[in-house]
Amino acid sequence: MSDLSRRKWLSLLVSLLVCNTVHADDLSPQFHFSGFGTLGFAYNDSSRFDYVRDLSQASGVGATRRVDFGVDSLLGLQLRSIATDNLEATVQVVSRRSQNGFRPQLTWAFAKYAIGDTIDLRAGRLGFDVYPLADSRNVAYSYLGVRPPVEYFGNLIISYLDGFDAVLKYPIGSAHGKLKIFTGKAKEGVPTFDPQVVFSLKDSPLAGIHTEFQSQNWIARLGYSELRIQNEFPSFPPLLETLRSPFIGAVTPLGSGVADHLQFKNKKIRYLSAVVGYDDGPFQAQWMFSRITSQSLGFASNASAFMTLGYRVKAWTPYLTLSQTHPIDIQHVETGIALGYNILLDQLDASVKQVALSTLSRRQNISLGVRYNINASSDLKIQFDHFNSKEHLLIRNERPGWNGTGNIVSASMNFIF
Amino acid sequence: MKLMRISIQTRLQQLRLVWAIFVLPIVFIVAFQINAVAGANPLDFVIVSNLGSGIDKMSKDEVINVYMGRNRKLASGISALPIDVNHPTAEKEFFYLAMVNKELAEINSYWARLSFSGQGSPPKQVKSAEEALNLVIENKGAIVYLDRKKVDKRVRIIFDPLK
Repeated sequence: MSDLSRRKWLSLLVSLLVCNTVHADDLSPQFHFSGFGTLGFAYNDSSRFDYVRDLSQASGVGATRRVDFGVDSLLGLQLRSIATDNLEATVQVVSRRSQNGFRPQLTWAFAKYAIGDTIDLRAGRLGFDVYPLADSRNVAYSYLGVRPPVEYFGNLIISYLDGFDAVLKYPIGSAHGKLKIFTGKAKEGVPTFDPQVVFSLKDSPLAGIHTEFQSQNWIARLGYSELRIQNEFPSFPPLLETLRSPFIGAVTPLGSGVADHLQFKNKKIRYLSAVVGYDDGPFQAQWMFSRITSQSLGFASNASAFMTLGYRVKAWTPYLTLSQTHPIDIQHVETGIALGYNILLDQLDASVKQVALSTLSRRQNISLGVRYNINASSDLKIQFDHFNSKEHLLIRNERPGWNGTGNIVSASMNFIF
Repeated sequence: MKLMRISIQTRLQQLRLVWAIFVLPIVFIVAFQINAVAGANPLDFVIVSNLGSGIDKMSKDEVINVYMGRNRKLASGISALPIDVNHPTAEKEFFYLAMVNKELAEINSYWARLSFSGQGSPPKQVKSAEEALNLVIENKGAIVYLDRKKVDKRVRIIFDPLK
C-alpha cells in the first residue's frame, strides 16, 4: 500500500471514529480514549556490549550508555469508537525506541465487525499475534516482567501487519475454544549490525493460524505463521552477484547454489509455537515454546522457550523467569573454493561463512523480580537478569574481550489510563 | 573416566533444568494456597438482571465468563452488559476476589492485555450501586453485583453465591 493510499485509509478510519461519536446513541461512551506507558531504566554492569529488548533496537544499555532510560520506556495512546454492538474502530500509536528513534508508530488501526458471539472480523493494521503476548508486549502493565523475555520475543522482527484476521470462538463445556486466521503484509524494517542500514520487510506477505483452549484456570495454544520476505538484505546484492558470476562459476560449481541459499528475497520464515498457561488466584505460570525455521542462510533457524512463575502476596508479586534460545539446523556452508591460493577468493569464502554464522543466537537467561501494585492502574517492577550468551544475535555493539555473560538491573513504573 | 564424569555432570544439569521447569510450578500450586478472600471486606452480594433478560439463573462460571469478556451474550441470546460499580471500591474488590480470587490490579492487567490488542473491553464502569441498578432496569442485557439489601422487585436475582 502506498503512503498516499495509507493516509487516505487512515483518514477514513478517523472519520469513522469521529462520526460514531456524533450519531451513536447507546449507553456507553462512543469515544473512548485510553493509553499505557512505561518509564523504565536499565543498568548493565558491563561496558563491552549493549543489551537490547529486541532486534528493532540498534543500541541499548552497556557499551553505548551504562544506565539507559530508553530501552523499555514508551507511551501508547489509543482511540476507540463503538458504532453498534457489532461494529467498532480502533487506532493506537506507540512511541518507543526503535530504528526510528522514538518516532511514534501506528501500531493498530482497524475496524472490527462481530457476528454474534462467535466470529470477529478485523481489517486494517493489526498486531502480529504469532505468540500470546506478542501483540501486547508494549503494554508492560499487562504482564509480570519489566519486559517480555528477550530470548523468546527478541527474535520477532515484525510487530504488526496490514491485513485481515478472523476469529471463531466456540464453547467447549464451560471452557472456550478459539480458532484464528490472519493474513497481511509486513510494514517494518529491522536494523542491521550497521545501525545506518535497515533491512526493510515492507510488503512481505505473512499469514498464520492458531487454535486456543481456555478454561477458568488453563490456557493452551498451538500456532503456525509464515513470512515470505519480499526484499533482499541491503548488503547482499554485490555478494550474490559475485557468487553467480562466470568468474566464480569457473572456480567452483557451488557458487550459484550458495547464492540461492543465501538470498532473502522470496524465502520463508516459519514460526511454530506452543503455549501452556495456568492462572489461579494469586498464582500464575506460563510455559512457551517456539521454533523459527528459515529458508535463508542469512537468518539462522532457532528454538526458544521460557517459563515464568509468579505468586502474589498482597500487593507484591515476586516472579521468576527462565528463558533460552539456541540455533537449530545449523548450516555448514561449503563454497567449494580452494583456500590459500587467492586472497580475494579467500575473502569471499570467509564472507559467506560469516553470513551463515552472524545470526546465530544461543543464550540462557534467568530473571528474578518483583512487581508492586501501587494502585489498580499502575505498578512498579524491579528485575535482575543474568545471562550467558554464546552466540550474540540479541546483542548490539559488542566490544572485544566480552566473555558472553551479562548482568542487568532494571526498574520500571508502568501505568494504564 | 573424565568423559563419564562430564556426561554425569551434563545429565545432572539437564535433570535440574527439568526439575525447575516442571516440578517447581507443581510445588507452588500444592504448597502455597492462601485464601485472599479472607482479608477483604465481606459483601453479601448477588448478581441481578433485568426482568426481561430471558434468564432465570446463571452459574458461577457463566458470570465469570461474561465479566471476563469470554461470553458477549447471555444464554437467552441478548447482548450482555456487565457492570462494574466503582464506589465503594471495596465492593468491586470483594466481587472479584470472591469470584476469581484476583485483586483489582490483576483484573485491570488482564483487561489491559485484551483492550490494547483489540480483543475486548472491560465491563461498563459506573459510580454507584444506584446508577447500576437503574441501568439494569433500563437494559435487558445488563447484569451487576449488588448488596443483597439493595435488591428490589424491579430486578431479578440470577446468581446467589450462598446457594
